[in-house]
Amino acid sequence: MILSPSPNGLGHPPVLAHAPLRLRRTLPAPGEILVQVGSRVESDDVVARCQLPAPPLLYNLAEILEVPPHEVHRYLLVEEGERVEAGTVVARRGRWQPRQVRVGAAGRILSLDPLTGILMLQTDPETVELLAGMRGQVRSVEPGLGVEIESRGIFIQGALAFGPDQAGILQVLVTDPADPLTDELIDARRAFAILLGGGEVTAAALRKAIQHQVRGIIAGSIREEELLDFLGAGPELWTHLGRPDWTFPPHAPDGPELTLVLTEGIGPFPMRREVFDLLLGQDSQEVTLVARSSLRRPFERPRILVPQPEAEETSPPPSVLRVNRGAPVRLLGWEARGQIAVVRSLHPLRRLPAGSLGPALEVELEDGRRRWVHPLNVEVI
Amino acid sequence: MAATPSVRLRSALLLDVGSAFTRAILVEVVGEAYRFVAEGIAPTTAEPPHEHLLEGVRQAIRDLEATSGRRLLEGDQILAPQTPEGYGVDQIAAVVSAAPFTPVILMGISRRLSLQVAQRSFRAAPVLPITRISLEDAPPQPDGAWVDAFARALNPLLPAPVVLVGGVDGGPVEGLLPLLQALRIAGSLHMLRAALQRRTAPPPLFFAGNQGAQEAVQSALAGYFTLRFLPNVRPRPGVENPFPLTEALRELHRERDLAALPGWRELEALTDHPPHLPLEGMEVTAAFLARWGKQEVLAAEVGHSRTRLVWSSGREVQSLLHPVGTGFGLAPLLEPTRVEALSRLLPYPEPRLRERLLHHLSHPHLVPETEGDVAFLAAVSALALREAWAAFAPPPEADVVVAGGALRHLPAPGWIVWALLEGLAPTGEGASALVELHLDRQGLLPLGGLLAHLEPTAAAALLLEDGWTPLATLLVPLGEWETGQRILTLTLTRDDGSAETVEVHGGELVRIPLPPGRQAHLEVRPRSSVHLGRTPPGAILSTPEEEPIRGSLLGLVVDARGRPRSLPAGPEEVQRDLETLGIHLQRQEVTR
Repeated sequence: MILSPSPNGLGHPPVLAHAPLRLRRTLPAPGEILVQVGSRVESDDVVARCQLPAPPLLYNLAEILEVPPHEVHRYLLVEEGERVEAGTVVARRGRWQPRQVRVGAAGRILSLDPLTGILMLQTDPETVELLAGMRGQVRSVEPGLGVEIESRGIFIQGALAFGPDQAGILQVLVTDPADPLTDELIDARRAFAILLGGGEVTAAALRKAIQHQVRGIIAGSIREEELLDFLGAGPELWTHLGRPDWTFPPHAPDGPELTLVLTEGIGPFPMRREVFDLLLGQDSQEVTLVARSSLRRPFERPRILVPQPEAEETSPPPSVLRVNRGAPVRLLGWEARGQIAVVRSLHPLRRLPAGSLGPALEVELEDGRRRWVHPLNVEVI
Repeated sequence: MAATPSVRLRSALLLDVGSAFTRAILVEVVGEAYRFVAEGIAPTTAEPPHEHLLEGVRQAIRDLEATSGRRLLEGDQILAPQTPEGYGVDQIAAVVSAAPFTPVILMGISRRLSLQVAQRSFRAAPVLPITRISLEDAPPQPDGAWVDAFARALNPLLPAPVVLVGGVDGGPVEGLLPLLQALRIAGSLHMLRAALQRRTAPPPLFFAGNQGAQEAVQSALAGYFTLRFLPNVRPRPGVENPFPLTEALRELHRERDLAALPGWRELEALTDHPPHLPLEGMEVTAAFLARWGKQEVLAAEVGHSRTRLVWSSGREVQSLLHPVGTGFGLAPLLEPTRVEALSRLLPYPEPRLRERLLHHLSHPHLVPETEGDVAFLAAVSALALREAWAAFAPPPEADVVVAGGALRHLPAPGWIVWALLEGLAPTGEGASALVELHLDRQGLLPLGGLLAHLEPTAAAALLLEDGWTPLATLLVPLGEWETGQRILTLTLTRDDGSAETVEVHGGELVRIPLPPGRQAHLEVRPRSSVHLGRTPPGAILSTPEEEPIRGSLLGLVVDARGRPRSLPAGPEEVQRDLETLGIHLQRQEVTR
């Protein structure tokens, strides 16, 4: 017996038709939880709320008033803790043509630092509401911090994603896993939907999706040049991938948010047949895209969740998969990537085409050809 | 070398918990000596859904049980000490590198002086400067505005730990004051935000600058940072002292990142000594090998997330960690100039190289299974070594190079030697003018050092008996010549009496077989503008009677391609050199 110990790096199969689904939702700052364990929620229900403090504003009074830092307090017109409105003069020096400082926003005076002469103003916080993000039941509550929603249904692991987590109604736009998702397929009827493409998605399609307020796109792949065209960036963009300053879509912090989930990754690849077929049957159903995706440590893959609470009770996925003769697998190695095959024989020690010695699987491809692969280079379907 | 087995230690289980894979190695007394018995491997399980290091450890031990036929687990528990029936092991030790690099903010007065010396402390610790701020970065504005701007820049980066350096001991403290003011504001803003988020611990700040400024640091930053005072990294002009800061940063990584790994406490409880960093194990191993062989040794390991280099003369040890590797460590190679460099190290044109990097990043557990995969792994390893070697600045010379990590997965010695030549480009300017290249075939570079903590004689026996496979002996002519010009004539006289005389021309890579177990004497006559190692130009090199060249998988390799070694011009050059080293490519895309 050969084990394929978490070939995807995460320890469970990448596609499950009946799986327990869990979605952790966390507030950006401590706040109030509005649901209880066991509550049933819809994806757009507010489950928690918090006040998110804006970054404090700094006023360098010593510099503006042109006095040493330790003398600034003599010219201060407000007290620490005092509430001020936008435009309030907080410090003034001189009687004739005085130098004075007005605050640009309403808030509360935090402190005046005697060493630097800098005044800190805490602006009014904004209220942030946390949506459930997925239809299901509240499994657990972390008081003041967040909740975990639980359901059952379809679990699909993607390769790479961009954008925030999203939930919406799935609209199937193509009929074959190799069909590209082009801009001609997108119009105003797609607003707020999550669109299923087949193979590649183009830059023009992404632009049109933003224009029509599409929430998300699930596609097999995108060519690098198309992605860079959409982002208006050069290849140096990749150096930022996974860093905190990485944003997608670019230059749209307040604009419509679009999430792109790629099931295969960067390149010209069709979607895996079993993924496409599974999603094809979910047209007009609600889908949740968990877009967190990291190619750096900690490694994280995006997920597509289709809750079906009426589905049968299921046991958790196995932590280690057994690759048996006859098992259908998807090949992950670069040269055979994406191909579907069936395991024909298993060998604990064999020389691979590369010349290295190790455990090996003999697999038969859909066209009947056979090849030897390493057990870590397959996903069990 | 036979080491007398100790009654205390009949067997040991050595664990290497890496960022992608966990290895378990069984070492025990076989006959009269400690020997490597078997290895088990499994993916590391620090992340969901397992989120517990011991899951991967147990899986690796089960794999080891299957390989060795020895029972080591009772349920989920490791059997220790060894039972009279021979089950289990006496001791357990681990190296762990499963946590990402610790992000650190580096601040100092001068980029050229303070920051540069501090960077030398950083290079041997698993930390990554996310920003470097010096007074020289200050815009031409009044001091106050500078403080304001830098406080704003620093604030979002906290609670990342801060390293502050600057000034020589006894020098003026004024240079540090603007930095202290910026840190004070950023620290107070951070603590306000932390209080709102119900977090109270101030971020750590290491001060390794002018010792006379400690009071000023204390009064400006106490309460906003958890202060730790260290010896100055540059106590006097021209004097550097990077090691105390290195040690402190390693400790920081242990406390902050390793300790946060799920299952860390259980792993700590399992082992007989606190787990070490692999680099620490390599330092012990390299120093031992250098002392034993009275040679300068370079240990090189290309890992999944990082590349490690340790050089030792026996008395002195220098180390370096470079955040580029063959799995998670591929992300930095997406940078366009590095993609270009990587493409020049491949034996075939690869038009979608960036896509390939992204594919490997998306599937970080891939194992090379085709010739193209091997070529990619060899090229990545060469580039990782090349960058790490350059970061050593100035790179020390070595008589012996021991290579491990991903290089162990290259299926033929020619690939490994090629990666070492392109990555490290040894010059042979050590003591002997010849460089021995070895493979760490069992992955003992970090673990051998670990075993030394348990039982030094066991470590010595293990390293010398089971550690290394000789790959090649390298000769590097240095000097000026035209490509194609004859630059030396060498005669290799083997111990069976056969002799071979070879002319070497500028730009060539030449290989003369000398199989393992055989010996030979070498005489080299360079032209007048060419020298070998530390010898003067034109001087004849002849190996002493009592120190013949020992046989190896590839034999003697003469690298006359010149130093410093620039990147290959393209696939043809890579193919030609691989062919010399015994790699006959099969792929259709071979351009010849």
